[in-house]
Amino acid sequence: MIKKDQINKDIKELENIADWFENTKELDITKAMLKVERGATLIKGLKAHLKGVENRFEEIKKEVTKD
Amino acid sequence: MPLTVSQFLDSVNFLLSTGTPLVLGEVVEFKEGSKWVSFSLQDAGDGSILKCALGSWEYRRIGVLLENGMQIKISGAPRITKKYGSFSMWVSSIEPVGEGSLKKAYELLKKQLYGEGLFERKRVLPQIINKIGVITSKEGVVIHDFVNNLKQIGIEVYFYPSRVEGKDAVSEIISGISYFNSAIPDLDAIVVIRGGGSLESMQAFNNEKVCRSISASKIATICGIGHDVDVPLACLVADVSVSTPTAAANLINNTYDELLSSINLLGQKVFIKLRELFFKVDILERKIKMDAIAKIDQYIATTKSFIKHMENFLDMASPLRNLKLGYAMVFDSAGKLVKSIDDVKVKDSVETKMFGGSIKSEIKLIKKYK
Repeated sequence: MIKKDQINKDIKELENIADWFENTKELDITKAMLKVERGATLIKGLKAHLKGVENRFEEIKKEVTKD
Repeated sequence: MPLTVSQFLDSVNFLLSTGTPLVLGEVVEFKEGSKWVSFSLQDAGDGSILKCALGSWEYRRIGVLLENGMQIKISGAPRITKKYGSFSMWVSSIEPVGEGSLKKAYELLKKQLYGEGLFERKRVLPQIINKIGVITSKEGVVIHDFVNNLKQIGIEVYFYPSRVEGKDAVSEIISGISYFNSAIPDLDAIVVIRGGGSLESMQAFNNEKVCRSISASKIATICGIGHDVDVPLACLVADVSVSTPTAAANLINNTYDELLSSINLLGQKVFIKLRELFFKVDILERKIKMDAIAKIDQYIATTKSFIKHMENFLDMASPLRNLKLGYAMVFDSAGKLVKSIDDVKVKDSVETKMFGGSIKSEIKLIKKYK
């Protein structure tokens, strides 16, 4: 559950970054760069988390369908 | 231009290869070697002879044993063997014809399987049969009768539809046995059933391959095949054999007798209700598991698609994208982005950021565009 909570938290933060880009009238380049960098870090972490969840889920799926 | 002998024979073989003829005749000069089986088929009318041959492996695959005097129907490929110039039929299927020949094939195989001890091994069925795999036709009343005759106490029934008569019956019955052994190895028993019929219609159950497949099954086997005089050989090989599909259902029901008789009538009702309940709970549990799997699959797919979307979005929104395209950004000494030529003056220090790094420089000259 820790992983799923973390995934949901990261997704929320990414959505906020997207909102910031969509709603900013005058783009602050420095802030924009920081947001992009933060977004890239979140995406990297999300991919790793999701891969872990997916692997674990595949194991569970095998066990469940074997029964 | 004349043809060479080889070319001519190739042409003849090509002409002979169209279609698969069916030929009826009496087996004569039957010979079985280690690699080849040969015999001739004699016409009952004028005594014409057709030489026939097939590999020993093919003979085993077909699963019908031959003997001189048997009436059979064969199909195969007529061909001239180029090396010897001899004409013969390369047989791919054999079917005994008439009661006498069927009986002979039956007796021959029975003798062989008996000699090999295939009728002797009988495994004891589980004390209570709870989970079965049924092989029979999906058409007709046999499967319905069988299921209706089973006690409604939540016995798990898996069904493998198979023809029980005709040319595909042998391969489908064998596939069913193989399927249950590999896919559901924890079955308590495999039940092979069909209604009664003539010796001719029962050929699949007197086939060597089917008998060997039943014998090789790791799961215990029950045969419930209706018959007149001759017990189908599949029944003799099976661990337990009964004479009808209904009897097979009763045999399974009876495994509960001892347990049910040990409790009173009220207890029996409670037991049966509990079994039904457990069965329903089992089905419900599987459904919940499957629903959960589908939902998690969907969640993973949606999250993956969101990540991909965000990757594209950030890539498009990133100022870095412009740097990659060859643009640069200029910052003043306070780190503020220079958006206009009016924001700087000569001698100012500026930092120019571009793809891959930045340059610090001093302004020597300012040119304004009009």
